[in-house]
Amino acid sequence: MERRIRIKGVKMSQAIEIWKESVAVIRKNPLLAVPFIVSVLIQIGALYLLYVAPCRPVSYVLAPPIRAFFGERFLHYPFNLIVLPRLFYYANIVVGMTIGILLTATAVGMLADYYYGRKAGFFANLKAAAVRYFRLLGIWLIVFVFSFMLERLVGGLARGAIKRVFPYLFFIAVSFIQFIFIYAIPAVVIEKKDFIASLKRGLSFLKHFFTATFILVMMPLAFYLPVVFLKQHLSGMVERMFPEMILIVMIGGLIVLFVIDLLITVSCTFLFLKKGAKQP
Amino acid sequence: MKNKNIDMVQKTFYMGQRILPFCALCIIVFLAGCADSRYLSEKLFWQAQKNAKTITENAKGVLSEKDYARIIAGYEKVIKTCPLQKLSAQSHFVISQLYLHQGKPDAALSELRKVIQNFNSQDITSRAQFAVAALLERQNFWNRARDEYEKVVDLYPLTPLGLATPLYIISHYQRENDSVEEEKAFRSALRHYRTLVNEYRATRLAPFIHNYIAQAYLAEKDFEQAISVLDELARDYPQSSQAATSFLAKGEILSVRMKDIPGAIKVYQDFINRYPDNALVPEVQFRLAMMYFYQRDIEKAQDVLSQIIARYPDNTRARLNAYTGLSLCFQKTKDTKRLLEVYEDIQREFPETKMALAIPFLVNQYYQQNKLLEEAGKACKDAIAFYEKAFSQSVKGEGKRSDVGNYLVLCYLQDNALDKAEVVLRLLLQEYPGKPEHLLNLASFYLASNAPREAIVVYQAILDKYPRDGRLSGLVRTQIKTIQERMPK
Repeated sequence: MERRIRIKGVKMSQAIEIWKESVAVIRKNPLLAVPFIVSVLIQIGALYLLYVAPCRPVSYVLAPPIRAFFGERFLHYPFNLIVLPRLFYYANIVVGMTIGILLTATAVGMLADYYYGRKAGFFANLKAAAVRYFRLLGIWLIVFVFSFMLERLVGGLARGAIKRVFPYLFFIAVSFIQFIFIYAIPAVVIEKKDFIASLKRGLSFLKHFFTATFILVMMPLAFYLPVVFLKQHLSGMVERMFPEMILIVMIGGLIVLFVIDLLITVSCTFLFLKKGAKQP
Repeated sequence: MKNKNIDMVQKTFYMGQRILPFCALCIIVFLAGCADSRYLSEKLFWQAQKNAKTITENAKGVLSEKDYARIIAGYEKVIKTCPLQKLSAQSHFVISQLYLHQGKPDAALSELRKVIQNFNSQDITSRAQFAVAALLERQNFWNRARDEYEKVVDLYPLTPLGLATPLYIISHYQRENDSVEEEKAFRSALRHYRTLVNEYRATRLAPFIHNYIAQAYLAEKDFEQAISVLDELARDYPQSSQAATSFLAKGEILSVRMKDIPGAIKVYQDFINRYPDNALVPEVQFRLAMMYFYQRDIEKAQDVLSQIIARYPDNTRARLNAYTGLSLCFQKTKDTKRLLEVYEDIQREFPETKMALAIPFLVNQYYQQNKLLEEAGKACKDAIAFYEKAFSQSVKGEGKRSDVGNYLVLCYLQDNALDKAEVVLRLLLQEYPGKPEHLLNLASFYLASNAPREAIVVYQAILDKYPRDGRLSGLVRTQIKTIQERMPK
């Protein structure tokens, strides 16, 4: 069953082939999208809870920390919406380091099951991911710490006109960090490698398929740039329209991110499986 | 096989039993989250405000009956949807103001009475009651207004308005020059406050009420009694925050009202000794330094101001005050080098403040006052270049533009560039019609252009526009008197 084809590079046409294959696989077996759907639903749920944080009964839990860290006015309309992106950034960190990373690993496991012709079960793969949680968390932390440092670095260097393009620079920088460690999770889930070995394996695989991976990761991420543009111009939009615009843009951003995540994870996992994944 | 199916059904049933309550909870949270009346009122009020802003902008400030009706409808929606919320009361206040603008005082009164009837928060209802009285007073129904003011005092005695209203009644009779009624109002206020003090002696309210008694004596210019009440406050309630602030009040009475600078110095020193860790210490030290300055003890003043700068590296306000104080000291001692150093420090540490903005003008003024004409000429050119650049870069409608324009006009007047001054002045008066400083500059412009009659007309306009600004009125009246004395009969 296992197919191992050793090639040194993949052209653009081959990347398109992998995307086509990924889309066809998802259409044929929509259950493979379940982890991504669950992930986006959890994120939308978290966003909704933060949106209704000033209202009862959610305010009993969320109002005290918001009051303590941001101030009373952010519990009132429309300031609760203005602080929403920042609150969601923190909530997303919590979701990302817990259920988010587990769901990504579950998706990779389900894709591997499908590829090897096994039954692609959600709960079985979620359980398997939970067993490897700390390795996955390690990878997530590395990506997060590098992204955080880059944010500080890019933010510190941003002066004058560069400040205007800072959100784009930051987005590209974070995307690049994710791109570097993209194969570490498939190495943990499919090849059952430990933390350090998975990083090494991921980097060595990336070295061999750098161009192909770059196309597979960066091109879908380019679809997120309009969302970055909208987020950058949110204050002007709120001024001209209504504060709920913030919520609409954020939900839109989550939906775009859902499609991007799905496309990147499925295509990169397929590339990993096709071009040399070793089952233990 | 059959058993396996039953097992599955049972499993699904048990799972459903566990999941269903969770789903129900999620739905409740989802729905309940949007139905919070307070939040809804905030949202509707914000929408009403935005609606009002858009209508006002579209109407370019001249609102028609229809416009008013549309604005009022927005606020009425808040009242209708969330009748018991605070913002609903606020909407009543706004509607009442809109009716007043329309020239419908009865409708405005009825709107305020609705607040008194429908709300039970003392803070809100006292505001409405006071607004009713103020409205009647503005319509020259003083007797009816007085009754309404009495209601504020009787019905809401412990609210900020309830406590302040007796003083307001005194000030009304002072404005009317009715000394008999003023004396009666003063006696009545004292009685009222003394009763409250006795009633709430053991509570946190007592020092507050003492402050009002002191203010009543101050209103009657009985400074010694006011100081004695403040002493009583500090003695009887030493732990209250009012005890600390009473020293500041005492210092102010002694220095400003009684011109007793040594007495004020003693009070401020006493405060620093008694409350060395109080947050007000930097402010008191600054006042102390200014007292030394007024006493012409410049060395001591400099010493205290330098201490503030050294001790409070993170206290922006205290540092800026201290630097400003030092600049006054160096102006007095004519120490140009150190004065310019202090100005540089201000521009470096506080570049966005009004003081930093004023410095090019102040440098010019310093040289002018000391008859250093060559330096003054150069400083004037530098200041004009600085303000011209800042003015061209400023944004219309911003407060900073008004300040920059003001200094630019003053520099032009100093430089005898009257044409340029007139152009900027006309622009500023158009952009900031409510700002008295531009009107004052216009009067100065007419004086510089040898047109004293026009200057008097402008000063008169200021008096008509700001009748309640005592300081401004005093300044303007002095100017008019000086011009009239110089004018040929």
